[in-house]
Amino acid sequence: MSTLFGRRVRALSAVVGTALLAVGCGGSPTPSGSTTPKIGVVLTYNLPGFWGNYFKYEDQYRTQLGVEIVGPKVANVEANGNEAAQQILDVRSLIAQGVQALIINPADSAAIGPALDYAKRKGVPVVTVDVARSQGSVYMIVRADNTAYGTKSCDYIASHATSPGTIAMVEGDLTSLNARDRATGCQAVISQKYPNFKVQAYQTKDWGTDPAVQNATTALTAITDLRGIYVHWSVPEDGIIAAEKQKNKYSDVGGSNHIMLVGNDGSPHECDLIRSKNLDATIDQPADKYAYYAIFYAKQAVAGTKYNDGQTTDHNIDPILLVPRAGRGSGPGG
Amino acid sequence: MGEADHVFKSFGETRALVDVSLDVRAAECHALVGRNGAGKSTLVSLFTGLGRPDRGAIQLAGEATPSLADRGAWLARVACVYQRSMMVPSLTVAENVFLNRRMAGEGALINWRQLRSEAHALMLEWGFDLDVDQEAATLTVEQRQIVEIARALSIGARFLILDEPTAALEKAAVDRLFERVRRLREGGVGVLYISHHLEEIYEICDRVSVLRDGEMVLSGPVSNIRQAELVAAMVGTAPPRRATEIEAVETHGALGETRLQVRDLTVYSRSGSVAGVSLSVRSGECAGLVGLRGSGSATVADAVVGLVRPRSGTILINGSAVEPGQVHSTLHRGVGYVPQDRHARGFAPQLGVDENLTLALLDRLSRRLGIVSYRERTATARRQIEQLQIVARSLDQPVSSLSGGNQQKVVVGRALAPDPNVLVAVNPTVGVDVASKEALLDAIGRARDHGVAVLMVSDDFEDLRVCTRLLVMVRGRIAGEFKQPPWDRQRLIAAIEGFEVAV
Amino acid sequence: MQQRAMADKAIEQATSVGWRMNRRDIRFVILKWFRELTLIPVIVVLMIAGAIVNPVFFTPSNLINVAEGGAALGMVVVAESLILLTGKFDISLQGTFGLAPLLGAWLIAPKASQGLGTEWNPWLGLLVVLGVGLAVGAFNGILVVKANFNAFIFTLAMSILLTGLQLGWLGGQTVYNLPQAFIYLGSESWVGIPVAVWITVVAFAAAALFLRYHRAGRAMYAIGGNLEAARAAGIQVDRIRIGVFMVASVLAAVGGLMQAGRVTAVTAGQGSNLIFGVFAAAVIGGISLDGGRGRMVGALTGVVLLSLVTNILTLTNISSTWIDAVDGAIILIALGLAKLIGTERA
Repeated sequence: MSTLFGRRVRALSAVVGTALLAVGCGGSPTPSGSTTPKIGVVLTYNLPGFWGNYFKYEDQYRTQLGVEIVGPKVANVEANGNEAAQQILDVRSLIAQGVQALIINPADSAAIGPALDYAKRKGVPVVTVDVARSQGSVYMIVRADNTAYGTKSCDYIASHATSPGTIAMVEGDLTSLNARDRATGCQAVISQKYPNFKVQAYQTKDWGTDPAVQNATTALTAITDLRGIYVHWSVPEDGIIAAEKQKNKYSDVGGSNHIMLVGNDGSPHECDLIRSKNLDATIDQPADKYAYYAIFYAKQAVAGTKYNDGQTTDHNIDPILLVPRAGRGSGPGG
Repeated sequence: MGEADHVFKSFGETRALVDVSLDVRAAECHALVGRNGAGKSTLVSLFTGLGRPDRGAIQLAGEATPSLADRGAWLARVACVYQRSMMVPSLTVAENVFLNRRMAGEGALINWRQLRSEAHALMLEWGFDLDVDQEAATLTVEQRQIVEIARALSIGARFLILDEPTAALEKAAVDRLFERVRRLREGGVGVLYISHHLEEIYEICDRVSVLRDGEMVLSGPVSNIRQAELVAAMVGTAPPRRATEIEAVETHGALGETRLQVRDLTVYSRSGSVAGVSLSVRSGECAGLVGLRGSGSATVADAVVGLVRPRSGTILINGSAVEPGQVHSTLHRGVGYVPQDRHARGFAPQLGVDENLTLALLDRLSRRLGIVSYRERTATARRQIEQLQIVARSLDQPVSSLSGGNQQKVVVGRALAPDPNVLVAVNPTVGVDVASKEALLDAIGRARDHGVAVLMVSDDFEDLRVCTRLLVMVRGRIAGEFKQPPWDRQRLIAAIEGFEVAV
Repeated sequence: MQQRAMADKAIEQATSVGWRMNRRDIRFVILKWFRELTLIPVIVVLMIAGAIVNPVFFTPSNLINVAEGGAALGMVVVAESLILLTGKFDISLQGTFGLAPLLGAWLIAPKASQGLGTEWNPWLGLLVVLGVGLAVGAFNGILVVKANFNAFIFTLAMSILLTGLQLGWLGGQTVYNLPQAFIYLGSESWVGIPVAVWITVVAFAAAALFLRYHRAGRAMYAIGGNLEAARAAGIQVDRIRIGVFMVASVLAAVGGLMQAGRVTAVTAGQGSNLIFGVFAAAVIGGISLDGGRGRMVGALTGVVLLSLVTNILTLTNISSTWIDAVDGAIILIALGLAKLIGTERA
């Protein structure tokens, strides 16, 4: 990075030149006091419960790890398409503002490609959070194994159901790799381990809350042997519970004829639902660990640490299924 | 019923009405005549409560006028039937008649049965068994008039203003209208009858008042005023040079072959239908079509150029028929067109002078692959600019920023640029300053001398200076021809207004 | 006075002809209704298709789902139709749909559920929701009608503003744990039919009756049909138009409450993309985009049509990635049919 500025720097006065040089290098592992790495954050808000938490932790870890966060720039939640295009613009504007690394949660795994290429050309390393990209290269991906999410969730339903039947899966927006992975995981475990169960999937465009609840309502009406509902994210859960009550199909966890409900995210609200026996289980996506490691790796990127291609690091961000009265992994909240 | 007492009204610098006094009595039909722009509309707006006079007073039925905001009070006293439809097209006739009115014993809710029966009764009063449940959009012009009159009277107005009521009516309907007006008179209603058709005034009105340039120049019983006097009052004393005549035109070229022929043309149009019109224009001639608005003169021009499709009849350019309704192919045959409204149809406002001038020539300027040759375009544009003395800062100055006169020159220049055989010009000098007017008319005259056959439609007598022949149109037909200039103004106006012209 | 006497006599004559008129009346009435009800065959076809696709379709439970799914949309369609009739647009209704309930919920919900923490009485919260609707409607109305802003552009900008406020207010969070009073509209049922459906049907009926029988309702048609004629007749054009904007916004806010009640939460994205469906339903149902034409019963059929389509698509197991394409195609077909039959007059 220093070579980029190199020639021009010499033309300027010496004082300015050295300052630029120092910032350009990101100042190697020894922090030189006045140079805090500047990191830009681009998110999409498709899972408000999760990302809300993420923010709080990001704030916390920002000071802890000593970085300056620019943004986050957020593409509209539940809005129609074009978040990908918006994110590409956001990436450009952050780079123009002089960030040294980027943390991105792509709205669309493939469409984020041009933004990644642009960042690479500008020499800004990118850490993606929660969603992997399918095109373009990044410095580090901080995500969980979403396929395992799906697998664990549907496994839980099938293993705890009173009898074989159908599981309704309310999927998120299938343009997101996360949703696709979770769907795959669920379908896989059911077909392999529980052959006398079926999965009926309903897609929800843009992770819309009302359409999701509508899908669940349709499932409640249309599927006679409904044993459980697996919903890919946490926001519709209340609505689904309300719909069940309306149709007189609701019973607390453990009751007879109970239709199981398993969600995702692990937000505090879900913990409340589990405690009050409305929700069977949820996957704990530890927002805190996401936040921490996103910043950590972004900082490493600025520092110039190299990682091998495909190297995975285990930070214990494994899917933890939160169930009633089970223990929870490390981390605040819940 | 309605009285204007020494009324003055100005709009900014324009003095629309100067010391005008007019009164319409009950059981009287009082005619108001005057040329366009004489102040008739302004007076009507004062009578209907759309404005207040600057000085002087308006009285209705002997009382002072209500405040302008109280529309209801105005409607109860005076009603005007405009040329524009004042009905809501999607509502039924019955609803339109009772628009925003309460009937006896009604609250905020509408009693549909009562509405229909009362509306039906009203129509029957006028001898009209009109289906009051049909949508207002389906009414003919005559029916619409009747409904509007009925509505006005049922509100209680006893002072009725009819603005050009016969403009869109044919003969039988006009007769019926007169019958109704007579009955209205007998019923005690005072009618202010505005019309250009002077012969109607003699048929149905009791008194007549003439407005000219904002002043009341003549007023009195119809039986005491002769036609000639009336026309003279409307026209006024002409400037000494052209006391009674329109100057003879100087022609330099010999007449050539017939370039434009129109045979038996019939066109249906809202702005003036045409029935069975035939004319021909030869190379080196300028034929002027004159007539009132709605007489069909502009429609003939539109049909010749291809902007409207005629019902029947043929148009021949240079001896061969043109496909009706196709502007592009018509212009391609060598016809230049100067449209009526330059703002709506004349030029592309944001394009530059050079581009507008060569707009009709584009295919000739582009040899290869449709790309316009810049050099040729500039040369052509310069030529036109010189000939017409167009004043512009630069070649690419947007035409919208030119003065009216220069804009019109661009429009004419565009029409003349491709050296057409036939030039159709409609109101070519409207809204143009005196100097530009001269330049424009000279250009048209020059074109005529060079062999172009010119068809000019205009009601500006100055324009007619360039013409070698005049054809007068009244109600869609050619009513007379004036062959040899100079022409007598009085006789010309009389012919235009519909009087029989003693040759 | 003389005229009145003549009129009286004529009325006598007319009523004696009353018989003839009445019979003609009935035939006429049927003819007038025919236009809008010609979408009924389309709906019948859809229902048959639905039954074929999935036997569950015709069960009361599913049909109630359909009705409930369309209720919130229906409220906004009533609102937009009223505005369209007076010759104006309001695109910001979808913003009000989302923002009004959000603000109300924010004031009621406990801090843990993303509320402000003031935890007001739920009824106050409901008042706030309606109040926000009223305020936005008044703002739109005054600026579009009095200050003569272009309705389309202005309300579009307002829509973006309101949606942005909705997102930024709570940083995108959802408000949970809403008290029963707040979610009543979306979650309860009377006589087996969801409250939301009742209210929407009442809204349609009230609007239809108002438009037909009340002076102000007819005035709205006049304003949309020929503005000058309306003015000349002394109709208070500006006042009525602003009033319509305000009423429409309140209706949209109520619609938003319905959806919030159904989902028992107010999300930051509530209302997104709603307005397209609203216009589609209105236009298919015969409400003219030029103003002055169209009836509520038509708009209602438009809403029913759209809701049915959504439901059938969900039941069919069409690969979920194709749902959008099929949805769009069906709407196009419905529009084409409406034009053919003559209800659509956009």
